Parts: sequence; structure tokens; C-alpha cells
Amino acid sequence: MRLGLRTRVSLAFGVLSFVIAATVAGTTYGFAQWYLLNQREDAALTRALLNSRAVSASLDAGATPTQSLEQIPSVGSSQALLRSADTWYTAGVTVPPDALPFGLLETASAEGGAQQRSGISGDPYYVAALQLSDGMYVEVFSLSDLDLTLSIGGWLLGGLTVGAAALGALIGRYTVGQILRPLRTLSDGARRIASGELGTRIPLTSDTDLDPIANSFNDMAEAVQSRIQRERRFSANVSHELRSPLTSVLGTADLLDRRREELPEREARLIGILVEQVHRMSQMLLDLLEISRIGSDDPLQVESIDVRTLCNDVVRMRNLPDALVTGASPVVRTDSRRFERIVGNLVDNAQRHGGGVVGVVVSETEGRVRIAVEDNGPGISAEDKEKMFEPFTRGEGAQHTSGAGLGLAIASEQAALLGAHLDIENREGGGTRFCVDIPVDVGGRL
Amino acid sequence: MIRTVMVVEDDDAIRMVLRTNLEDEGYRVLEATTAEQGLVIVQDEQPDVVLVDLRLPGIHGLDLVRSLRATSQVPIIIVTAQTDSHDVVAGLEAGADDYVTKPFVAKELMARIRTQLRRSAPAEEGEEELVCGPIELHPDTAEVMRNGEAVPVSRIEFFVLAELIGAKGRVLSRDHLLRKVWGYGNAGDGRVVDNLIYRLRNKIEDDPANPELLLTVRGFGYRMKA
Repeated sequence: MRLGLRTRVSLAFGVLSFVIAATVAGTTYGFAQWYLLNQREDAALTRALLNSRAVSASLDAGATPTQSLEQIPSVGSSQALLRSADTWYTAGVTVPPDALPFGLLETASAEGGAQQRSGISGDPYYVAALQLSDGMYVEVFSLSDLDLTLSIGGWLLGGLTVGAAALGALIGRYTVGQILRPLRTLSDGARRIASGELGTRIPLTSDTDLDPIANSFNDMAEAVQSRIQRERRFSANVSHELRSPLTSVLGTADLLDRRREELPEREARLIGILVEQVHRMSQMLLDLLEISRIGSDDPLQVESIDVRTLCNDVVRMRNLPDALVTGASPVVRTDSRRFERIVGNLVDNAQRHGGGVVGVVVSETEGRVRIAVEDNGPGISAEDKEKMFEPFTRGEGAQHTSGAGLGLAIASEQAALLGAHLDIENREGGGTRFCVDIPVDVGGRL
Repeated sequence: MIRTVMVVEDDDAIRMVLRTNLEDEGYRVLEATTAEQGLVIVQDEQPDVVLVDLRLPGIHGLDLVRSLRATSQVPIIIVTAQTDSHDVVAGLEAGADDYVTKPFVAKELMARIRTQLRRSAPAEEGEEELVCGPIELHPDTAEVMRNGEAVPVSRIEFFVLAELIGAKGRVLSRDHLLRKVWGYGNAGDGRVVDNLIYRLRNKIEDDPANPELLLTVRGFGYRMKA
């Protein structure tokens, strides 16, 4: 999965801060370590030299090796060892003579003196060995305190580095947030336009970097709005211009139809075809005009409606028995004309394609009312269900019927305006159930 | 008795179709192509029903309806190619009694015209006078009296009142009224009823904004105070 822009920029800022902070910290640490160790070693070496001379003088004066060692002032954590006639003498026993690095002693006896940093039984030490006239003086300095100082410093620097990385990531995150905010304004605007608020515009911020984006967005919105308004006007004009000739064609066809008996049989048959097709065309055209106009310039007229009464009226108008309507009798607040159209279209669909309505069942659940129009039709396959509410879809075997296949599409579009939705179930034991699920109060949705 | 129907329509073909249909039904037909012409003919000939196309050249159909309604109770049916709700509502508010949209089915339009011309009340003939508070209906003369004074009502207004009073306080749905009074066979437009009720209230109520006789039952329809 690709990471989001915000995460990627945060990471990049974090890594960059880390690298910079780590370089600075590493250099600082290295320099501090080098400087402190050198200082300490210089001091230690000077001291070892002075001490070795004192021991050497003491031995020359005839003191025993132990006496010679004891006269050295004990300072801090250093420790002196003396080899005289192959015997080691020590003052204090922290570091035993056999733990001293062998190579160092070799070098010292060969070159007169040697020094080295060395870990002895896990602790850091600085060892200086000096050849005397008869024997060898060794002084061991513990570096533990310096080591502690350096490791505390190291941890501090490490912590600062991590902190810098985290801060870098936060700054990255904040920066991206700043950059994305105008983008979010744009996407909100686009969404509002998509949901039909065509008048949406992005306010200008007098920011020279952002305003060009807002301006081009607004220009686009302007173009979309005027385009849609032009199309609406066009469709309204087409509708009006088509209706007049359609009226006279339909009327003339009906008049001819009424005089069919007076005509020769062949002409009468032709007139029959003409009448049928004109009616079909007219219905299709009306449905098309309706579907293109749904939702535009036709506000909802919300009122309280008794659902049972409405369903009864719908079936009665189609000369179907009242007894078809059963179930609850809830009152909903919605647009009655559209609601009646939806239920009517479902009933018409069942009559036309479903072998007739066998029941209109009203039920009420939390906040919604469901009207199920049941038929005895062949049922609908899962793949047809998807297409059912698209324009010009007709069930199998319905090719010869008069409908244009727009009834359910109209119902579906109208339902969307009322916050309702349609669905199709196959009834257990055959037949189909077309349901409309409508909110009790359309106002609650808007 | 031969009834006269006047058609105000500027489209020649539609006028021809209407004339033929109406003559087949036995009506005398008067034609006008403009509102101005229509007004003159109505005054001279006193037709029984007027069909008005809304989009006329010159004076708009709506203004014609308003002028006709100002002087007479002749039934007016709007014939319009405009189906936007504000056109229809404007027509009904101007005083039209019913409307059909183009393209209309001739049979349907003829049924509407017949309804507008009905002489007798939908209630049983010979029924006693219908009374509700100060309102009295005389079915034989299609007259409405309020506190003993005649109230001018159109035929369709009379029938709606008769239906409501005849129901004796029961609620009548708008679809019931559309079927019974307007003779709609299929889906009617409830706004036709709403507008007529509004007009009736202006004629029979003391305070039309707060009706006491003709009551709205939200979600169901209308009823008369029992």
C-alpha cells in the first residue's frame, strides 16, 4: 500500500532531521572524547614520569621497593606498580601485575618507556610503563569516571538526535497540513457542486499562490453551472415544442381510430398500428421528459400523508380491488405527488411485467415505512436486479409490451429525492416483491 | 339542449382536433386564437365551458383566465404544454377549475368537460336541501346560500361543497373528490382540490385564513364541520 502524502513528507522531514542531528552529535562526541582523553593522558603521563623519578631516586638511596612505592603520594584512582629483580611490588591491589598487557611491558623494556589505553577486567585504564635502571615502574590510571562522563554525554546527544528527528517529522506534518488545507477547500467545493449546489464558489484568500487555483476552480464551476442551466432551458423548450405536435398527432390518430368501421379493412388495420405506435411513442416521450426534469426547478411539496389511503387510491385508480392493500396505516411527511408516482409505477410495473399485483403490503419500522408491491411474475435474476432501475431496462419476455422501460427508472429517481430507496426481492414460492422504503419525515433527511 | 364549448388555442392542428372531438360529442364549438378574441366571444356568446391554452400570443392565457373569472362563473379548463408546477398552480390560482397537459387523451378531456357541465349534484337526485351551519345548498338550482344570501359559485365548487356536506362530517380524501367531482379516471393532481378549497373558503368562511366550516384533516383530506 502506498503511504499518504502527509506520512511520506513527515517521514522525509524526520529522516533528514535525524541525519543532520546525528552528524552534528557524532562530530561533537568524537571531538569531546578525543580532547578529554588526550588531556587526561597528558596529565597521567607527566605524573607517571615524576613518580618514576621519585621511585628511582628512592631506590638509588637504598630504600626497599615497598618503601619507595609508599612514599609516592596517592592521588585519585591511580595505582603504582614496581618490578624489581623480577618481583612485582604493588601499592593497592586493584590491578594485579599479571593483568598488565604483556606487549606494553616488552615495548617499555626495549624502548625505555611505553603507554597505552587498555581494558583490564572490563574497566578502562590508562597504563604508563617506564624502564628504571634496575626494574620497571608502572602506573595504572582508571578512566572509569571519564568513561561515565562520555557515556552520559553520548546518551544526551543520542536523545537530542532522536528528538530532532521527531521534531522534523512534526514540522513536516504541519507543513503538509498547511499545504493540504486549500486542497480540502477545493474538494469540499467539488463535492458540493456534485451534490447539486451549482452556485458553490471558493472564496479568494489574497494569497498569490493559492488564488490562481481558487480562480480556476471558480471558472470551472461557472462553466458547469451555465452549461447545466442551458441544458435545462433546452430540455424545457424541447418539451414544450414537442408537446403541441404530439397533441395533434395523438388527437388525429384517435379520431381516425373512432372512424375505423367506416374504413376499408386494410386501412383500418393500418390505422390500428398507427394509433398503437403513436400512443407508445407519446408515453415514451412523456416518460423521457419527466426523467430529464426530475429534481430540476420542481421543489418538494411536503405534507402529511396517510400511506394506506394513498395506496388505496393508487390501486382504485387502476381498477384493482381495495383488498389488495394490507398492513399498517402510518402517516408520513413527504411529497405526495412524487410518492404516489413511485407507488403507482411499481403497481403498473407489476401489472405489466409481473403477471399482476397480488398484494400491496405496508409496514412500519423505526423511522421508515416500507411498501411492498408483490406480483406473481417469473422472478428476477441477481444480475437483472442491478439493471432493473436503469432506463430502458425490461425484464425478459417483456419486449412485446408497450412500456418503454422507464417506469422503474422514474420511480427510482423520484425515490432518491424523497430519501427513499427501492429494492427487489424474489418472493418465497415464486413472484417478485418491489419495495419502496421511505423515511417517515423527508424533512429529517434534508 | 346543445352546449357550447369555446376553445382558445393558437395551434391550428390542435384546434382542429379539439373541434372534431367536441362536435363528435355533440357540442357547438367556438374558436379563438388569441386571448383578446376570446374575451369578446365569451361576452357575445356566453359559452358553457372555456378551454384555454396558457401560452398564447399577446395576452397570456393566465390573464385571460383572470379576466374571465372576474366577471363569470363559467367553467374554465386550462390546456397547457407546461407541466412545471408553478404554471399549473398559477393557472388554478387564477381561477381555472381543472387542467389537462399536452399531449392529452381526447377521451379524458371529454370526460372532464362533461363533469364541468353536469347539471345535477352528484348526491342522489331529489335529496333534501344540504345544510351546514349558515350554508345552504339547493341541488335543483345549483345555488349556494350563506345566511340567506346567494353566493356566486362555479358548478365544480358547488359539487365539492355538496360532496363534503353530504358526507356529514366524514373526511373525504383529495383523490376521492377528484374521482367523484372532477371525474378523474387515473392519477389526479391534489393541487386542483387544494386550490378549489382555497377559493371556496374565500366565499363561505368569515375568516378564510382560520376556517371554521371547511376543515383540513392533515394527511387525509377535507371535511365539513358536522
